[in-house]
Amino acid sequence: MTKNLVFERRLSIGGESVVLSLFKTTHGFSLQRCLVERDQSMFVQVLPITAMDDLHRFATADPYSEELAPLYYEVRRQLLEDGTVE
Amino acid sequence: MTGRQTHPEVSGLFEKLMAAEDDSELASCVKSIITTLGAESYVFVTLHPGDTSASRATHRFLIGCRPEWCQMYNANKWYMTDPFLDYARSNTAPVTGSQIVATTQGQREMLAAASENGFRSGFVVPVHTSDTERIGVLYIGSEDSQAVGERKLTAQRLYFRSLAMELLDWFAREAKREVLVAHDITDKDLQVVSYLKNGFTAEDIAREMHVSVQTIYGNYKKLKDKLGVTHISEAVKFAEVHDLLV
Repeated sequence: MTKNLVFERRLSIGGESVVLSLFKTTHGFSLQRCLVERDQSMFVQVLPITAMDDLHRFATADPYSEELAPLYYEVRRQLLEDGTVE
Repeated sequence: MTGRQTHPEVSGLFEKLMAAEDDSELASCVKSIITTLGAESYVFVTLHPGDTSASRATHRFLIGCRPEWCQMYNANKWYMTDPFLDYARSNTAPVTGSQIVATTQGQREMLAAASENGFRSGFVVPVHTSDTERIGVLYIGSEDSQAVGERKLTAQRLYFRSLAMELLDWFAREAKREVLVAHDITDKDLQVVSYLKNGFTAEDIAREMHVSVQTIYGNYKKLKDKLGVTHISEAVKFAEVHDLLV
């Protein structure tokens, strides 16, 4: 598998926790947003990122967008630094 | 677009999908396939209804639609009331959006939101693994009107069904690989566990593998250490829960 973790941060929000993981893959990037609820149910969203707008729209629509803003900022910075996603 | 016209191109895309090395490549293949077949959006969900382990996702969403839709779906916890998910738990026949009737206000709101987010017409394909512990649901969406879109999508039923099955297989392989890597489980470990599951004793296994009984007990210990369990029967249970045995 050619999938490398380039960024990962966890944030606890009111008994739940959200982990954002950015992976660099052969064909670009994918962002994994993992929500662990109080009862330990785990919901994983996998967003393939083909354009910066994908990330912006996903981040803006996130119900925890305010709390996760610094994490999404860091993801965006990583993508800009890499330069392959426009 | 007819099945005959699309077949060669879609076959090639399926070949690529089955060999996809990561979820980005997989997502790109799925997008190409559904676009070729006349759709515009998709979401593939895998779920493990019977899983109580804290280490495995209960729902995993591969997003091939407007990013806002998946966030809205999760924020509203629509996975708890989604009538298509309910249907998928006990059915494997594909259905169109209009075949499932919303019975609650929450469901009506969910379907209205779906319609505004790339699923104006839809086709939903449930798939199950043989032991039904793992379920996949492929949601296919189009901006066409329900009448036009559903007819178009239903005409590609065979391809969408194949796609859903291949996706479930891909995620099952990936999940197994992740567990094997995380616990450093070898083929020999799996062989031993497989014998144990079939009721073999350490002596039987030693004979089958042409090694001493002490070697087998050594394998037991190493495997228990890797999994952090105290009895080898727990290793068998672990392997079953994580679908590690063929």
